Amino acid sequence: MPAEAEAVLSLQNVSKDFVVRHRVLHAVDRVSFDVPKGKTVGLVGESGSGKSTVGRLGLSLLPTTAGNVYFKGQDLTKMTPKTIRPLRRAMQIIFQDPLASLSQRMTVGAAVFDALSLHNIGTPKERWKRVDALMERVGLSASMTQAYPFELSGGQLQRVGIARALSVGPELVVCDEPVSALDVSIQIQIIQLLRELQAEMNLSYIFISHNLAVVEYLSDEVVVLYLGQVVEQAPADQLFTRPSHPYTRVLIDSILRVPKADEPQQKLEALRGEMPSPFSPPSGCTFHGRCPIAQDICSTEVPQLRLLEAGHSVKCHFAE
Amino acid sequence: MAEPLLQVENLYTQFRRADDTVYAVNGVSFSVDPGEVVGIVGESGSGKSVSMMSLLGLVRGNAVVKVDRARFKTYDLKKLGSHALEDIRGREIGVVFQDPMTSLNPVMRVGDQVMEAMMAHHYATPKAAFQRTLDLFHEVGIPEVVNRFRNYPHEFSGGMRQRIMIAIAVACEPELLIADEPTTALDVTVQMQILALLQELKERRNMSIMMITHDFGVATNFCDRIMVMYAGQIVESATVQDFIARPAHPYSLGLKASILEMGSRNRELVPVPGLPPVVTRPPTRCSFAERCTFAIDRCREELPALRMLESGHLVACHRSEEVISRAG
Repeated sequence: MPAEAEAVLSLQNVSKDFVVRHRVLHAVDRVSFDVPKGKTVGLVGESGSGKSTVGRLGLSLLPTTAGNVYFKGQDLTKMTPKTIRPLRRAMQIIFQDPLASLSQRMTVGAAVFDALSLHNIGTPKERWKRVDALMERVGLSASMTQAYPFELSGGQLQRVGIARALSVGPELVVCDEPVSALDVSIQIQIIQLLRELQAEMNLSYIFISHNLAVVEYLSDEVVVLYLGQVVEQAPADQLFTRPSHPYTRVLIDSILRVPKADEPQQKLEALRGEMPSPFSPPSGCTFHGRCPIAQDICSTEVPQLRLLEAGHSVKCHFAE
Repeated sequence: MAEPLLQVENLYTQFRRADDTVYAVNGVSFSVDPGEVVGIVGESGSGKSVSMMSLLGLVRGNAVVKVDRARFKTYDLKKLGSHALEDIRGREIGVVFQDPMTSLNPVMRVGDQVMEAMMAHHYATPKAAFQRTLDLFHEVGIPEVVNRFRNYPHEFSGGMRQRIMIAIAVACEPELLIADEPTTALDVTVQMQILALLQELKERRNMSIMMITHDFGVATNFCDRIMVMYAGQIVESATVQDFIARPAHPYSLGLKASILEMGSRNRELVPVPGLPPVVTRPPTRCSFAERCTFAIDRCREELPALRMLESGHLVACHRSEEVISRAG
């Protein structure tokens, strides 16, 4: 059973292996976290860290290799696609590239309508009424219902993606890099929309992004992933004010902020090396080869995820 | 003062479409000094890429490019034929694009691609080009240069591919590097590596860089000067310091207010309302007027020209004095 009853989603020691050309890739390795009702959990990490895979495992869009995924107390890993199907209404996803996730031959209104039909919600007449209301709520004019995806801008398409995901009345929404492809001024509009909708509908979000500023802004809790493992996990305000894993610090320091009027430009200092191949992860702490504070022990002994203070855990021998 | 390396006056680019014309670049003028790093900032469709690609002759067939003056070193880019322009491009002006996967040849070994860049421009003999490729790979931070020479683009990560693109772009020792969103598709850690590499190359060669980006964090930390584009026009041009301390165009002000940075958690974000326009008629009024909180009747009647506010700080706005006093 999940630890906390109010968690909409609870991942417990979830792992996922992929077999690529007879080699095993540990894409996700024993990841655990809860998504409480109405809250947002941010997943951050570089490309290849496994953050999108974790999102898909949480929605049971991918089968797990090990571990349990509880959605409102029900273990999705023990269910069949058929028995999960009625739950799908309550679990939705918003993708980075809305153009790729919408049919080119269907008007965007029909795409939202389709989502409602799929789940047998309302009569056709009621569905269209709902489509119009939703389109208006996400900031699209009624005339855009009749537009095809290629006629809309990236920001407008993302609004359609949001309308489609929310049309069926979900409780949990996985947002997979929903603003990464958008211009800054449009990003803000979409982020504000997501925040308003969360408050109105008491939604729980898993927010996946490599943009730490966006994650900081939206998340209540943040999970930092490196090579498929959780290296740090903490409430958002703690993580960003007192990051304790060297990797989290590197991520935060890599962000270029606009200097204040009397500040010098930020020094461009780069993290050494590249993310190692997930097929042959380094021994000991997988981050040791790039870590600025690594000692001998780091290359031989695997650090355990340990609790630093309430709600703040870190996987590092030297973090304090 | 030294002669500028690149000088452009009144650049116009239009794209003819079946039933209308898109006015993508509307009278852009600027210059770049030797060794200077200039950032061109703006949203999608503001004309930042198109204006640079127009100068290089890299726009599609339905484009009409007009310019009063386009001088690079001693060359008049306006008078050069496509062949001569091709020789300057890649030899004296290097170009790096956002997505290295689409600019590299997928079926050619990366080392051969770097060598080709030098041989096509008669910059080096095959033997010298081979040796120089190894040196370049080393310089841009590609490990195990001899082995990696023989790999294909798909065998590299995004960051490594961008390093290869940069090696190609700087192979013939260009004096100007045009980088079009070179780090947009990359992780923050890799972005930092690539920017640090570009800065190092720039300092070692005293190369000028024009960095096209929509990221203010990148522009303000990497560049000496920033030009903000909107609807095909430069609306503000200033040193980074002036731009940060005294933004004079309402659009610059709005963009700055809408930047989501670390530490924004408890801040109310103010998006610039509305969308940038698609310009299908030659602008005769301020293109930003309908999104602007400073707009007065004059803005809706008269196109503001780029004017000098103070030394080195240009702005195209009738209301800049009010903008500065309100911001200050």
